[in-house]
Amino acid sequence: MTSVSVSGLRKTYDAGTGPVTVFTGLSLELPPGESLALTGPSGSGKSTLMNILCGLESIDAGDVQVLGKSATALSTDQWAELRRRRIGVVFQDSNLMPAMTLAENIRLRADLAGRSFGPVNDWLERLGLAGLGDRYPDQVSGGQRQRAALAMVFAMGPDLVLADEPTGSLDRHTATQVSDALFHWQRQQGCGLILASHDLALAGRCDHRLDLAAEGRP
Amino acid sequence: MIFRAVLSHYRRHPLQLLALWLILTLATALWSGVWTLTGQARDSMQAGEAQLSGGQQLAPEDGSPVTVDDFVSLRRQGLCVIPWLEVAPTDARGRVVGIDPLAMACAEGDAPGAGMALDGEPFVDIAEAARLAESGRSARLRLYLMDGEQPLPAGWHRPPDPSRLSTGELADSFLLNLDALGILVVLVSALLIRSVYTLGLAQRRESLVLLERYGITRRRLRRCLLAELVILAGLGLVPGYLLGLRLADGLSGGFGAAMDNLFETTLLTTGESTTGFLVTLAVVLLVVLWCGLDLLRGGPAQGRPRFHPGLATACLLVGLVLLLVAGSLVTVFLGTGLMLAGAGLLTPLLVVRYLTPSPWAPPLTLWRRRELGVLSGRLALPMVALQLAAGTVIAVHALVSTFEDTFHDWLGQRLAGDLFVEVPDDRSLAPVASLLESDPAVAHWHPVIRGTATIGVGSGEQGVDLMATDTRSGLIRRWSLLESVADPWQAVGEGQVLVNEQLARRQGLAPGDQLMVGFGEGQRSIRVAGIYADYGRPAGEILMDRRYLPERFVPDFRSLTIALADMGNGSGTALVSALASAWQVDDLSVRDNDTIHRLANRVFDQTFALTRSISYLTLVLAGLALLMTGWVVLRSRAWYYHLLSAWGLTARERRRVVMTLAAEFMALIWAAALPVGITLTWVLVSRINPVAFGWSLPMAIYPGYWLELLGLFALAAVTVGWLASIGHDGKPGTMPVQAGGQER
Repeated sequence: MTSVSVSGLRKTYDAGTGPVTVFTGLSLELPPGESLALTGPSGSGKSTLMNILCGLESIDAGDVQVLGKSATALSTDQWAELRRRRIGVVFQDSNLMPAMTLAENIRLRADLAGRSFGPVNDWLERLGLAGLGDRYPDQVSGGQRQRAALAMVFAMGPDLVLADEPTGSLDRHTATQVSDALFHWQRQQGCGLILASHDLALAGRCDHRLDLAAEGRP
Repeated sequence: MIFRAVLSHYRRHPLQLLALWLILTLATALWSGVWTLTGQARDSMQAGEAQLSGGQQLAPEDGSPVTVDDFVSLRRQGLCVIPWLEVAPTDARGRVVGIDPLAMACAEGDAPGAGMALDGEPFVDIAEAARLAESGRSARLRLYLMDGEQPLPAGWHRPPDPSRLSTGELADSFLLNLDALGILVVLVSALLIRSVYTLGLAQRRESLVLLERYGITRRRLRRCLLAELVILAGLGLVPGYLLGLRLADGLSGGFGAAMDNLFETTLLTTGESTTGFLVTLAVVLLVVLWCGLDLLRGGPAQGRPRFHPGLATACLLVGLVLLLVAGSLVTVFLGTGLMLAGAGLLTPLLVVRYLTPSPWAPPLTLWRRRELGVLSGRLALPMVALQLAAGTVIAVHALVSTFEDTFHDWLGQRLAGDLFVEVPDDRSLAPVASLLESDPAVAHWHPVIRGTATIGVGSGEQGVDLMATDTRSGLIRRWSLLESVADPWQAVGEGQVLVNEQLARRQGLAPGDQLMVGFGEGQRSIRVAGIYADYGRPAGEILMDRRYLPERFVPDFRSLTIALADMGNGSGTALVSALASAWQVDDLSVRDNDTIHRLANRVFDQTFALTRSISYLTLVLAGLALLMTGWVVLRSRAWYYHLLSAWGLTARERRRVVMTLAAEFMALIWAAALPVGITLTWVLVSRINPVAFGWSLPMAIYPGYWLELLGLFALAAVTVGWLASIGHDGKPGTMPVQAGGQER
């Protein structure tokens, strides 16, 4: 069973000035425990595809299977349940609730996933954030915030991680630290990873790569 | 071009511009409405004083009523005497005063009512007033002597006028009360305008910083923002002012009637005035400058809200101490202002700092509480405004309800009879007394004699109303007294008197005190046996047993109060016919209990119409502002609510979380308004009311009404929560521009 399987995906949305077609027959496959990089310029549909893969956007046609479930067969509540327990999502920034400390954020995410949040400090330590658990997001650096976001995701023990430009707002050195952590824990936990990025070097670290500028475009 | 760039924010957020304009307009309407009404009340009071200040009232020494023949006779004696025919108000028309412009010629413009328009507000030509009097409306003719140096003709004296002597201080207090209400309205709405504006400014921070990066100086940006604010104020000023005039016009009916009932002063509705407009303009500019103060001081980018715990506690404590020890109304208002300021400063601080949940609370609860802290900080100003407005509404409701209950009981005691029959002029009570005693349809009856007496005040004397009756009557003995000597009715039956609360407060009288009472033929020292409540009018009054009235006392009015054994079988009609026949008159003026109750309740409603309306309008304004700002703030947090979706909360769960958050926020404001409301109730009934109206009320609270208000708050919470959650279901919100910066 694949982690993610997409075939013949069609997606159009209303941009306010008329319909915009994003995909006209996109196909991809991600085996379990492997990683896939989605590349392409801005507007090529990377974030749209990420939203589709976690059930936050619907599709017009095609077949999308995520963790063995058909996207069209799942209700919005079933999608929510999948996200809650099996899919970890990392955005470019603002992955944390600003009024909660790093430790509280990790606890909240683990609690929603139905996991014990006992080892919060372990996860902080694993991601190089030891001693920062009581800090608020605005009291740590951008790199530390992204590592805290990774701690949140891996603390829930996901089957699939969707990372949308996770290093997009970081300098090269910090971006490397964050991506190292991302790939390390993805491999440790054996979960699938789909990573959207402009950064070709980062994309090159993935097992597979799909250029959305060339695939499934009108 | 720069100005266009600054204004471009509103092209993207037209609703915010509309909200700001709406708040400015509505607040201006409230200020100008309240200002117009208080201005009219003040002018009316001053006009009333001026009308009466020109002359001195003359009255026959024997107490007989003044007639037209008296006027003619005095003018023939060469005295400059002015007639003043006062016709009592009815359901359809207010009090009317008939004056004679021709007779005023001798007074050279100093006569009472001189220069006033004869338009029925309240002056009319004396001929028209006479016609109204002849049509059955109760009327009283007075004569004013314009030359105070002239010796009085034989048989005439200058009586003290109870209405003139007693209302001055009360009227000042009443006006002061209105001014205080007006100031509270200005403060609350200023808070609202500032909060809506600063919230908008915070949203524009990024674009303003960008303009600064493009090389536009901060000074120039500030000037643009100030110009924008002044233009907005200008756009809100004119419609707001006009709306305020309409508001004043709409409220003037009930308010005018209240003025008439409370102070016998007709409200002069003067319409728009330049002063009113200029005052409104000044208030708007002041508030706008206050909003722009931060711009002038530090530039557009502002950090987290600042709290002042020391100042808040000091304001609260000093305010409460002042309220406890205050002896004058001004000090009471100062204490109230400080108390409100302290409560307002302290509330957001308490919410943010001390409502922190246990770290072991369920994580989602922890998140909601923390988010609540963020909202309380961001919405501190509208939150405080709504808290103060709700506190005021709670207090006004408690005051009105307590008064309603007390007034109802009081009215029940006063109107214990079924029929109230006016005794015709020149008829004695004797022919009907035996009839009433022997008629089996009559359960109880007693006569009521009303007139004027004087009491000794220092070295002079003051006029008071006098009510004499048969104090052995079972109907009278139902009256409950505020204070009394032991067995007060026995004491009154032996010649002592009761005084109303107004007189007791003004003269510092207590049961057991001696009072010098004059009945027109010398004075008597009489002991005060007790004090009774007397609502809805300012005049002092003495109640005594009619057996102790001097024989030569001439009453202004006499009536019979009759309680029937059975009202249903037409016995009332038969009895009235029998009384008319005993007095040998064709017709009798009779009022039944229901009619008087209806009239009294109307007076009651009018008395508090303005206070109630203004406090409700302020609450609506505050609620509206909170809805707008709450919506904007919740929308600005949309990304974080979207995160909850990304973390697996269903749309329904997320809506529930946001709604619960909004409900908790509103419940907090409601809870914070309760202590303010209770303290304000105490201030109103125990500190302000006795001075402003002359009578006090018991302190009572109405938890049922608090729950009603909570329901209203819940409705607002659901609306804000719903508005914040629609449009984002299934779609990501916008990621904050300054992630990790100012969101906490």
